[in-house]
Amino acid sequence: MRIATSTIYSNLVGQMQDLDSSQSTLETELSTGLSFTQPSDNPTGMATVLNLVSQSQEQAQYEANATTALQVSQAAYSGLNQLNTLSNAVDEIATEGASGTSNASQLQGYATQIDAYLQQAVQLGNSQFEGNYLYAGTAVNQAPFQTTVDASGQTTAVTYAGNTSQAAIPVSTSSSISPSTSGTTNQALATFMNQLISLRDALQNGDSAGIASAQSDLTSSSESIIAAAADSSAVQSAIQSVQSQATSMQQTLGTTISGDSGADVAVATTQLTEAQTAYQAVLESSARIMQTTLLNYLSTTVP
Amino acid sequence: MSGLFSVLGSTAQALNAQSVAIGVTSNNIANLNNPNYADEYVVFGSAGEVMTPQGEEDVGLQATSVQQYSDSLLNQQIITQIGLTSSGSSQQGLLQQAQGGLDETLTSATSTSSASAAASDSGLGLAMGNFMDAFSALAAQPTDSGTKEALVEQASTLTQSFNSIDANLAQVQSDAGSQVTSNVATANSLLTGIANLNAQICSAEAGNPGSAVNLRDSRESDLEQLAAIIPVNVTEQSNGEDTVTTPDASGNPIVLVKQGTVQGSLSYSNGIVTEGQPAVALGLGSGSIEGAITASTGPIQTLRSSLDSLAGELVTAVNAAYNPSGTGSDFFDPSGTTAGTISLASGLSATTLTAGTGAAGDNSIATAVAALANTSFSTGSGDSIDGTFSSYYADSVGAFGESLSNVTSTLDDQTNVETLLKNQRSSISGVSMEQEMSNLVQFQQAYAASSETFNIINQILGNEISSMGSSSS
Repeated sequence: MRIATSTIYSNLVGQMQDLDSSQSTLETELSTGLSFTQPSDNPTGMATVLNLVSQSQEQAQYEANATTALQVSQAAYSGLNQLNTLSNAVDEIATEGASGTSNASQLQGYATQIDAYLQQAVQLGNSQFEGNYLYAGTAVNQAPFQTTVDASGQTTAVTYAGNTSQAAIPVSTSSSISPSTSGTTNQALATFMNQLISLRDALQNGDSAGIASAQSDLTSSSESIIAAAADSSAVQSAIQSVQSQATSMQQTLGTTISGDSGADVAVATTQLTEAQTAYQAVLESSARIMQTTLLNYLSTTVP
Repeated sequence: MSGLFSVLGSTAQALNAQSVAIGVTSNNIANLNNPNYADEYVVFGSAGEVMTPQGEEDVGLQATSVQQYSDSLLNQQIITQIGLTSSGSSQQGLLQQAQGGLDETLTSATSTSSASAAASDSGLGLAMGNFMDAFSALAAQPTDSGTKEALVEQASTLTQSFNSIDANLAQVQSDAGSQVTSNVATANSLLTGIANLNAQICSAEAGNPGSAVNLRDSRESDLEQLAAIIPVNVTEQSNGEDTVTTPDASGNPIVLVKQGTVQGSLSYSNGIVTEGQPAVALGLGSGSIEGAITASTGPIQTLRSSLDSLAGELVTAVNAAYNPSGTGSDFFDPSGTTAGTISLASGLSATTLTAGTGAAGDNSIATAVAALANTSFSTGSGDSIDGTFSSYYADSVGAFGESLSNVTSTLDDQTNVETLLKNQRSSISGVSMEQEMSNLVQFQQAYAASSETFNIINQILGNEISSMGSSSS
C-alpha cells in the first residue's frame, strides 16, 4: 500500500494522543483514588454510588441523632438516679420520725431537712438539658414542676405543668426512640414531691400516723423512680445498639462505595507503566521513521 | 530523415516537458502537509507526428495536462462520515458542558471518616441529602436554634442548587441555539463559495476536463466543511460542476447548489432549519446542526425535565408534611414547582420554622418531613417521580451519564472510521515523499539525458557549420 508522508505523521500523532489520553485517565485514577469521577465515566456506577453516598449520609445523621438521644437519656437517668438517692435519705429520716423516739424539736429539724430535700427534688425535676426541661414531656420550654408557696415562703403544693407526650427521635430508616421520660413518670415525680410535702407537714405537726402514711406512700413512689431509671437505662442500651448499627452500616456502605468507585491501584499502576512504555516505544520508533526517507538517503549518498 | 535541426527542436520540447514534470513534483513536495491537496501528476503525450518518406515520425514529447489522483466515490464516503463525526462531536461538546453544569462529581473523601468516596460539595445529590438530614437533626433537637439555622441554610442551598443547575442547563441549550445560527451562516457562505468555484472550474476546464486541480482542491475542502454542518450529497457533472443536495424530512433531495448558482439559502428559526422560499425543512441526519439540536432537545431537556419533576415532588411532599392541615405556613413557595423556580416560602426563617404542631418539644413535623427521605413515590399514584428523592436523582444522573457515554463511544468509532477513510484517500491522493523523490530523480535523469542529446547534436551541427565555412573560404 502506498503511504502518503502526511499519513505517517498523523498516525504517529494519533497514536501518541491516544496514549496520552489513557495515561491522563490513569493518572487521574491514581491521584484521586477513584476509578470514575464524572457521570459519563461510569453511568451505572455513578447512580449506584450516589444512592450509597446518600444512604451513608443518612446513616451518619442517624448516628448523630442517636448521640443526641443518648445524651438526653443519660441526663434523664442521672436526674432519676439523684432523686432515688434523695428518696433513700428521705426514707431514713421518715423512719427516724416514725420511730416515736424523737422529741418535737428533733421532728422540727427533720421537717426542715425534708423541706430542703423537697427544694432539691423540685430543682432536679426542673433540670434542663441544652435549654430544654428534661421531665416535661414535649412542653420543654417551661418548668414542669410549679410550686405553690404560702406566706411564710413554704412550698405547699407541687403541680405538674408539662404534658404526657414524648418526642420520638428517628434513629434508623424504620425506628425511632423516645429518650425522655414518660408522662406517667413525670407525674409520679410530682406525686413524690407532694408526698414529701405531706411528710414534712406530718413531721412539723408531730403526726406519727401521718408520718407513717407518708413514708409508705414515698416507698411506693420510690419504686416508680427506680423503675423509670431502669427504663431509661434500657433506652440507653437500645440507643447504643442502634448507634453501633449505624456505625457498622456506615462502614459497610463506605466499603461498598470504595469497592464501586475506588481505583484498583495495583491494576492502574501496571496499566500506567504499560501506557508509558508504549508511549516511549512510539516516540523512539517515530524518531527513527522520521529520519529515514529517500530524501535523507539521497542527500547523504548522491554527491 | 527530418534532419538534425528538427531533432534539436524535439529535444528542446522534451526538456520543456521534463521541466513541467519537475515543477509539478516540486509543487507536490511543497504541499506535503496540505490536507486539502490531492497529489498531481503530468500526463505526457506526443507533440504530433509528421509524414516523412521514411514513414510517420514523432515530433517530440509534451506535457499535455496536469491531473490529480482523486476518487470521487471515496470523497463522497468521507463527506458522509465527516457529517456523522461532526454530529457526534457537537453532541459530545454540549453534553460535556451540561455535565459540567450539573456539577455532580465524585471527589476523594477527606471529611467523612468511614466512606472512602463522597459526592462533591456543590452537587445537588449532596444538597438534597443534607436538607433531609437537617430535618432529621431537627427531629432530634426540635428547640435548638442552631439546628434550625442550619436547616434553613441547607434548604436555601438546595433551592439555589436547583436554580443554578437549571440555569446552567438552559445556558447550554441557548449556546446550542447560537451554535446552530452561526453554523447556518457558515453553511450559506460555503454554498456561495462552492457555486463560485463550480463556475470557475467549468470555464477553466473547457476542453481539458479535470485540469483545474487547485480549484477542485478548494471545492473539495468547502464541501467537507459543509458536510460537517449539514448532510450533503455531491454529484459531479460532465463539465466538472458539482450538484450539491441535502435530504428533506422524507429523504427527497433538496438542491442547494446547481451549476454556478445557490438555489436557496438556509435559515434557522424555532428549532427548524429550512431552505429556500417557500421554506422546506431539512431532514437533518448528520452534521453539527443535527448534533446541537439532538443534544439540546434530547438528553439535556430530559435532564431538565427530570429535575423539574424532582423539584415539583419535593415542594409538594415537603409542604404537605410541613403544613399538614394546609392552613399553616408552607415550607417551599407552592408556586415554584420547577427546578428553575423552586424557592423557600416567603417569611420562612429559623425563628418561624416549626418542628412540631403542639408543645415546643414536639417534633412530629420534622419527623414527618425527615421520613420523606425514605418515602418511595410512584407516578402511578399521581406523584411526579418514581422511587425516593435520592434514587430518582441518582437514576436521572445515571441516564444522563449514559447518554454522554454513548455519544463518546459512538464518536470514537466514527472518528476511527473517518481516519481510516482519510488514510485510504491519502494512499491514493496524498503526497508521498518517497514517490516524489524518486520521480524527481527520474525526471532529473531524463532532463540530463535530453540536455546531453541537445549538446551532442549542437556539437555535430557546429562542426558541420564550421567545416562548411572553411571549405567555402
